[in-house]
Amino acid sequence: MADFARSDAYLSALLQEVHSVGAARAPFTIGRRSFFKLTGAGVAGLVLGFHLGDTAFAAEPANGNDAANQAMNAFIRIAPDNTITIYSKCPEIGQGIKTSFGVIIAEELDADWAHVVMEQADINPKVYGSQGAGGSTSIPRAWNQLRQAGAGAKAMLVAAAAQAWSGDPSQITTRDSVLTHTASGRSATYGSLAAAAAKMPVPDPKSLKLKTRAEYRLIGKRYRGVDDPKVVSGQPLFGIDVQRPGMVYATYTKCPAAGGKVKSFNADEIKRQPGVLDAFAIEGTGLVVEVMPGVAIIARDTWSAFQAREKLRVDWDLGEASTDSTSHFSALAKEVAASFPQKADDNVGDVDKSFANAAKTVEAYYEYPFAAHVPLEPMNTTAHWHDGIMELWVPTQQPDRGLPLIGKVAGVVPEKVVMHQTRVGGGFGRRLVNDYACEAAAIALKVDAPVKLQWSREDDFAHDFYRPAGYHQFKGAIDRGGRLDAWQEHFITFTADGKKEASGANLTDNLRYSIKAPNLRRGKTMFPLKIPTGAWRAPGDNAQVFAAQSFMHELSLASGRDHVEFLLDAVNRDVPELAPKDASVNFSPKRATDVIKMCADKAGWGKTLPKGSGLGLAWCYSHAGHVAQAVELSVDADKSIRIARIVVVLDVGPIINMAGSEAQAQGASTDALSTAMGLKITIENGRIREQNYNSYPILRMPFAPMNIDAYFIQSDNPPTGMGEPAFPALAPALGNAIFAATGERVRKLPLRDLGYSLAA
Amino acid sequence: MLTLTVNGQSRDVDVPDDMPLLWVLRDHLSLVGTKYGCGVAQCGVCTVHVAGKPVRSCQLLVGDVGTRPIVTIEGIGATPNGAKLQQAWMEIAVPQCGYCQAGQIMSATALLDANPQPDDADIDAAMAGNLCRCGTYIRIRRAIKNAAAKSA
Amino acid sequence: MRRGLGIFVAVLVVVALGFAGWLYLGRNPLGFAGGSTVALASYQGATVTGAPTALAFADLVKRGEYLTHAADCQACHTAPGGAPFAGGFAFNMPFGTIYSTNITPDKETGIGNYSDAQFLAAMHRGIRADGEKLYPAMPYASYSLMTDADALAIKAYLFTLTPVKAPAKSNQLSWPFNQRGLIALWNVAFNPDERFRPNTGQSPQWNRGAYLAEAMGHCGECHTPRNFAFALDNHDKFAGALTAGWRAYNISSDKTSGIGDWSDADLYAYLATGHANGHGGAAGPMGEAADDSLSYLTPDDTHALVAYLRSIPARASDLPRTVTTAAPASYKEGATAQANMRGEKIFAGACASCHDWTGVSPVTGFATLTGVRAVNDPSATNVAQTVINGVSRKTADGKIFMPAFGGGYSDDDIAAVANYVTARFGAKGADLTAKDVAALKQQAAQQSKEAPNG
Ligand code: FES
Ligand code: FES
Repeated sequence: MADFARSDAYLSALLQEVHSVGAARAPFTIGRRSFFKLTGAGVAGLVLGFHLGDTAFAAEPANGNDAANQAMNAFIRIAPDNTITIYSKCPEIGQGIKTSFGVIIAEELDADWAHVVMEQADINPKVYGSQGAGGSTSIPRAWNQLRQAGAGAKAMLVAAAAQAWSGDPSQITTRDSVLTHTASGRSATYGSLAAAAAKMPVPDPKSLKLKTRAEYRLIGKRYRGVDDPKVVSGQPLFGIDVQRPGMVYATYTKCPAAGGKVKSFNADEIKRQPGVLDAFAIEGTGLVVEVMPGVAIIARDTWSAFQAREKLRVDWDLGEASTDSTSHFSALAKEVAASFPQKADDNVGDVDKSFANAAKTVEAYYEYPFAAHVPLEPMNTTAHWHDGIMELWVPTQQPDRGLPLIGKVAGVVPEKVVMHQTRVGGGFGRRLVNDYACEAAAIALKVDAPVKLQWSREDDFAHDFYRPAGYHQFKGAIDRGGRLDAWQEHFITFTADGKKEASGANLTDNLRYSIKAPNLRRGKTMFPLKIPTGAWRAPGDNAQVFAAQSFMHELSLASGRDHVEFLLDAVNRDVPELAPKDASVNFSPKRATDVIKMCADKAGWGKTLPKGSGLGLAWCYSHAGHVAQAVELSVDADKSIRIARIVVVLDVGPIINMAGSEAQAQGASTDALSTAMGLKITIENGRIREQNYNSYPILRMPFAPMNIDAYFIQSDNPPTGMGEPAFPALAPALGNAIFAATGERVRKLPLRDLGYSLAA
Repeated sequence: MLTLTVNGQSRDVDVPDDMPLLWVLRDHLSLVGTKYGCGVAQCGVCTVHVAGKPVRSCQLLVGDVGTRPIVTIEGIGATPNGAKLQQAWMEIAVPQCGYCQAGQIMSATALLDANPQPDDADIDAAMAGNLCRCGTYIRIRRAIKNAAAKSA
Repeated sequence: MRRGLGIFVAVLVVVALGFAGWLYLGRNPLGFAGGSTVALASYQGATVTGAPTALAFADLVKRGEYLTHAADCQACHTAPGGAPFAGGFAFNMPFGTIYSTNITPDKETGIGNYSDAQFLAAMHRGIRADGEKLYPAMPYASYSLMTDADALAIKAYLFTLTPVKAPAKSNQLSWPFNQRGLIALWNVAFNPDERFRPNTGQSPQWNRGAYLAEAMGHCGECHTPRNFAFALDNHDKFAGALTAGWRAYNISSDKTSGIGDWSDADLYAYLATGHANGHGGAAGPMGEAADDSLSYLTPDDTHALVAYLRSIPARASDLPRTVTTAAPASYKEGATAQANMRGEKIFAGACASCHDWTGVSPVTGFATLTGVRAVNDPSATNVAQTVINGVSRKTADGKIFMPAFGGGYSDDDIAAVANYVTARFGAKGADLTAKDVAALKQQAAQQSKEAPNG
């Protein structure tokens, strides 16, 4: 367990899942097996949901502690009044999953969307399988499971109708939650036949015929978020909104330098502060993903806890605390960059020979900084230790991974941990780690009431799992035909354990499929780092694609060829050693080609632009999506950038919710622009200098683009999530456009540090 | 004991004068629609109306409110512009994570109350203080324009 | 020819003597008051030195604590985030950086081994225990007015502090400023090393105020311009100066550019809390002076300071008259958008929610910009510094907090917003460039600390 809890494991597991997407066999096995095992056979949720279709329907979903209640927690319930309740098993973090999951089930169920009610399921991996949201994997992992759930339920309804009307199931059609017998013209609502349907045998999922894309009536349309009515009227939804009778409030103060321990603190003075109920130190488990040492202050409201904390004086033991410093890392990286490591990680062809024979070689050094997630809802969890049960309300992206850790902290078996999912005010990867939930559990053990742990924004900046900085020394060769012939990359990154890369600091496999040089060599140098790092929206890709695709542009310029032509040539190069070994990886040169071509086309590639203007393009394969992005802009004398247009073209398989997908494409592009322009985290002597949004200038509306044109190439490939793919290629497209406009190459982020700004 | 007028109702609260209105609303009046995001007036998620003006409730001490009426996101739907904006927000599906949206709608309502037909520059001036970490700005702009068009 | 030279030399001598005389007059901070002065021992009025009557029966340490606050030792002898009085605070001077020293009673690195005589030598003459000369960044030329008894009371208090081991940081000064020997010359010229002499033509209250302002609070060290030798030039007493990258404003009685038309109540409020409605609040070094020193004074002492300040002759400086009317409610009116679009948009995002487009804060009087001198200063020095460093102060009236933007916003952005703010809410828009902002960042002592919590 301890090993699993290392933050690194989260990312590697996540990435593995990403690569599994699209496989015919591997990806869903684990989730499905446990799901089926519980229920014996078939699409369990439905059956049981139907059982509840009668009198018991009004019951609230229970907590999942006994067999009967687990059963209640499945996907679908149909009420006699024909209201269909669908449970969304994964966290809603803004990616729109609660809506999309409903649409997927409702599609196969032929449900009337107007009468579908979406509910958040509680956490019970035994029933639901994987219940995380990360790596844009919620949709791909749930795709078949949800469709089978819908189709299975429909089959049972059809069977019930056939029995009632003594007809042939094949003559019964379904539409908008109504069953019709074509021959006799008899019809009935789903609600009226739900109880009967529940008694039908559960169909074998293999026997279910799922719809083809042409048959979709719901999938692909525009939907507003199912929670939107509550969001716009301020109804309680988020973790921070949870209120329990008798609830008290807590802050938790950890050492500002990661790894510091509490020696002592001014407990008496703190306990005397107005509104304070208690204060105590917690030793914690010493793991950053669980509970680090700190001081908890319990008060009658959040403000009293915050106020008292200003008086808190902790004597920290800094023996094992971080003394990391970003300026030191940058200086060091530059020093070691030129000496390629002894041992290469990848070695294809003969790079040295290629360099010797090259028509042209190009060298460049790229760097990007640490970054924080800082979703707008600060970390929080409400926990209640009662009756030997640890009950929590957690805004998290990975409840299923948090559950055993919380059990460990609380000293109970996972079955005694009851986790309620709340809506999540932004994830971006931050909430893949459940540290704040573990802290809440540790605090709740010592408090005789429900307790809401509320992090301040300053806590959030100081104790994130940062996107690691990175430094890349590239050398590339162009052959006499003007093609990419060699690619050498020295990646300077970080390690927490001295063995493998720190979380989020590994060179992503996605880049392997993008950079098809017949001679390729990669090696890395790792600096030890104590500051915790983690997955950050499109982990790895979010910054590495900037470096790689900017350098690709440099190479295309050296080749004297058109950038798009150069890219297409490289993408379609056949280098067997660089082909995906894992059959589940869905990287496709054809799909890459299509998005690049369409993006160039939509952006007006090749058109003549006035002096000072430029068009830049980049692409990536990220989180099973194929994406190209283009930016048209002008730059004036004082380096003020005016964005004329942003185009993003994605092939992520079929689109479930067009409104939501567009929003993700625009949101991720906006986030990428914001991050590239201005965001960086500075570490000094193990402490994070940025404390709040005043020093971390997330893009504001006056500087945001007026529009971002999103286009989708819809395919029959299995869908992937939309939370991440539209992020990585924006920064290099921006840098390439700046080069086109000014002749100045952007090799460092954020652009603010190079004197660039967005025009007002 | 202080008496506040919130969403047209008179509410008594027993809190120190120097508690920001934000925490009085959230922890003492169970009005959790008003959010906490930064505590330093940089994100706008805590925006409420005080005597019709948009104010960051994380900065306004409850003792300084006096008799001025407070309207929060829970009550804004009862105003014509508030209702129109909520509608527009849903029609084009503005929210992503949704956390900033209460504040966005409060700022947008104050804008339309003062200026029923805002242009882009007006929208920038009124909305610049509201961060959206998810990047929903394009749709916020459009929703405000759609709502304004309905009142034309 | 020779004659000509003789006349030239004579003129030179006269000019030099005149100049020396002028300098000599300029070095006396109390010279402006005229009248006759007497030695303290022969003064007939009420006691003007020492702790206030309220503490008359308190022990030496208690009195010393009050006087330590009054002399504002802490602000300069504490590094941001460091232990109080342990030194390490950096003074960025045009000719290098000087660090304050540890004045906790640590025997190795602090002043734990100082005898009374050694302590007095440091306070009055700028001589360290090891005989080495202190740089006049330590305001001993002002402290030389302090009585021995008061200085030793301060010492008694300092010796009750927990000793902190904090070795001195080495100064980084360029030649010839790294030659401590030169200070001897400076001392001869600019430190008369005389104790305070009450003025018999003034009231005891005035004399108390004078003692507090000159011997203790050393107001002139920031508010009085300096001459070529970096000594205070009291010809322009309290007429304002640029110190450590911040503008210490004109606090003479000039009505336009000084505090001549502030009411007594406003002055009192400002001194007591670091804020006066309609005039704004102290930030930067003055914020520290307010928090660490002035706010500890008894009401009588603060009134004495007001009385004294009122008597400073008016000295006009180049500040325009403060605009006291609010700006228009709409961003469209007033300072035009076209002129400084960037400044306007940054203001809209980061500033308007507290300061409002009118400049009159809907949130707290602390955030009102209308009528604030910094905003009416066309150099925008303090506006820019406040934007860069923020404000984090606790006063009797409550917490004053503004986040620091220096770390997140570019120098261009800070210049743009400072220019916009001065144009919209002040008498005249500033014309700062990114370079100016970078220079201001350099000059400012150190980034102030931000509040730990939301
Ligand atoms: S919480 Fe008030 S502005 Fe951010
Ligand atoms: S919708 Fe997530 S912060 Fe705006």
